Amino acid sequence: MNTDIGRTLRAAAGALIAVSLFGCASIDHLAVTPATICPSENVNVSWSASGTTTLAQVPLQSGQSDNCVDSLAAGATQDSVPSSGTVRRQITDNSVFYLEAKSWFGKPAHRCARVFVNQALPLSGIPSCAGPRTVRVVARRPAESAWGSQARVGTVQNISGVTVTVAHAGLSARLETNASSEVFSMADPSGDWIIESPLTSGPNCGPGADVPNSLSIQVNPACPH
Amino acid sequence: MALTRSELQDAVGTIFIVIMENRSFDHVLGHLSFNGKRKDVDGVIGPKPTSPSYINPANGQGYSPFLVTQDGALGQDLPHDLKSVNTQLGRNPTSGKYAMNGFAQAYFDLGGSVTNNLPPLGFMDRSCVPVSGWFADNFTICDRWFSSLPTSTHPNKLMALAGKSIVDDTFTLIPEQDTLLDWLSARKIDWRVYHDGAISFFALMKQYWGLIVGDGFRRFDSLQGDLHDADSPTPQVVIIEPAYADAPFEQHPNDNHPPLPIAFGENFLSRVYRAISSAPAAVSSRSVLIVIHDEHGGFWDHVPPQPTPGYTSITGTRFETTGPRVPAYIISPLVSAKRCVDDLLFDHTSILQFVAERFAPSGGTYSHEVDLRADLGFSSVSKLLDLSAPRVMPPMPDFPLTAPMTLQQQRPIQSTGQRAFVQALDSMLASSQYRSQILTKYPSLHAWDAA
Repeated sequence: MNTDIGRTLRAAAGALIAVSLFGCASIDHLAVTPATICPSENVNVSWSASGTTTLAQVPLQSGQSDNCVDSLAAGATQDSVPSSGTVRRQITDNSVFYLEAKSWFGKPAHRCARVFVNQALPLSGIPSCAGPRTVRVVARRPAESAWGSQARVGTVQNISGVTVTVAHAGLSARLETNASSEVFSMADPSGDWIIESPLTSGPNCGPGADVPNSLSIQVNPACPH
Repeated sequence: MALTRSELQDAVGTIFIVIMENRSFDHVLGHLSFNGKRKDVDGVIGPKPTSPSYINPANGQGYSPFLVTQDGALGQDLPHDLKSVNTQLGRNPTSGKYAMNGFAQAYFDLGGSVTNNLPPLGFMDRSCVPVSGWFADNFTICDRWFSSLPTSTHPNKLMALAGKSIVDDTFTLIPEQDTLLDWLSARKIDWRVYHDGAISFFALMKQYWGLIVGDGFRRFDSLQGDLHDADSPTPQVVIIEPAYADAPFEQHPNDNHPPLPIAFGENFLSRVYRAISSAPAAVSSRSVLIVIHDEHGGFWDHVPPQPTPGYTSITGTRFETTGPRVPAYIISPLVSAKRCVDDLLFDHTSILQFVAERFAPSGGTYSHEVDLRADLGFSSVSKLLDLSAPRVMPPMPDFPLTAPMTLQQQRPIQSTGQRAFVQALDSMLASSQYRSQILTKYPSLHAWDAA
């Protein structure tokens, strides 16, 4: 019996090693939560991969798309990590976590995830009719852009090209183009943000109406000092 | 004022055609107007590209274009199939107007990573596209040149090379249809195809396999020497093809197809220009080099597509608009320097109008299908020529072109465009009729054959 168990375990271990060495590397997931934080807040980095796995944390470069590029910048330190796990990191600047899984065969797999510090969130949507002379967008903070627990709403700026009325958490404000408001200060950013705008010219809302391309506001976080 | 046929015949000896891949006008040339630099160009308006009309809403968040100051490979190709282009054009369901703000959504729909600076919204700094910028400074560009159809590579390439497309999207091999090569041959007009990669785009059409192994298809490296060969007259129409990123057997693709860095395409265009501009004066002084991109490749452009009311493709599909704008350069001693033409509309069939104006023996047009495009308002390239002050093509400076990229193993075959090239080459290699000829003519394909 014990011998059988031993054989089985050895076979399983052998298979595991074979897969690790000779199978194709892959990454199931890499996530950083929350994705937007206040300075020095902690984030959890979790991943799951197969193959020999490394994790690197590098500063987010400006001037280039911050999407994953196909290689890590030369000189970056890659730490060997288990094929799956979670680590907690304190973050002070915009950063990219770069996970790479390698095997003896096939192309290395890699994935990136970013974390932004004190990052404003533009909320936006394509307007639909809310009445004959009004268009509306209901925007919700995307889960992928979730703020950390410390952040509250600071100012809200109208970045639409038209005047809008913004409603959130039982509060509302009318904002001219580029104007900011502190009406929502310290509100929880979660939940729906309703952005409405009047049609000032042309036909009523419907085909041929002069509907803005989008209605957008920028929600700036307020971080504790 | 329109040029007469005899004026064109006197002035234009050879039309060179280059079709690059998958970049929008704003992505490559939008920087020309940024920070108030060229007010005659309808590009991106700065100092920050955060105009409300530029915002792309997706999943509740707004994304703005951003200036790319460092060239590099993208993480993945961008969506640019028929369905994705429809999303990208951002037709407002209420007003019916095109907002050009669906590029972020299309990117996410195909699994793009959530981040702030989305790859489809990047537009290049001049330092990343020095060759294209130099063309814009020294020759004529069009900021109303649209990809013919709001869809992907194959249909738009066929619109440029035939004025019609037997497919509405990019699948695998292209069914038989006639193209510019047939039109020219039927009229005994000399043509030649030069390709920088292992095989030509025409290999995707089985009807041309016999021609591809013949003398009409040559490697790009031989262009410069051929133009100096006094015993071999330069053909009247020359098609010059880059090496395609979609072809997994290409060692050094340079067609600008993402995820490639753009530096490789810039380098290819500089080689094309140097070959033609250094040709004997009898050739270069009568040359018109037309460089376009086949379609926008998923990159943002801010100008809505041109309506094409009533236009029905030969497949029976109604296309209500063109695709987005693409970069188009007319490079010739016969055009003005630093000119941006914005009062005339162009699409890929503008090339065929021009070819017919110059070469149709009895004053005919190219075809009924191209006439339909002209009726929709698309002009001939001949409208861009200025014969009043022909000049010498200026020497191109040396530009530092760098593209950080990881050396990697053979690219995985994922897209229909890639499968098309693989199927074409594998079929030719499996054919007893073409196998030995294709391997003899293009020895680099032995490696693919062996694999």
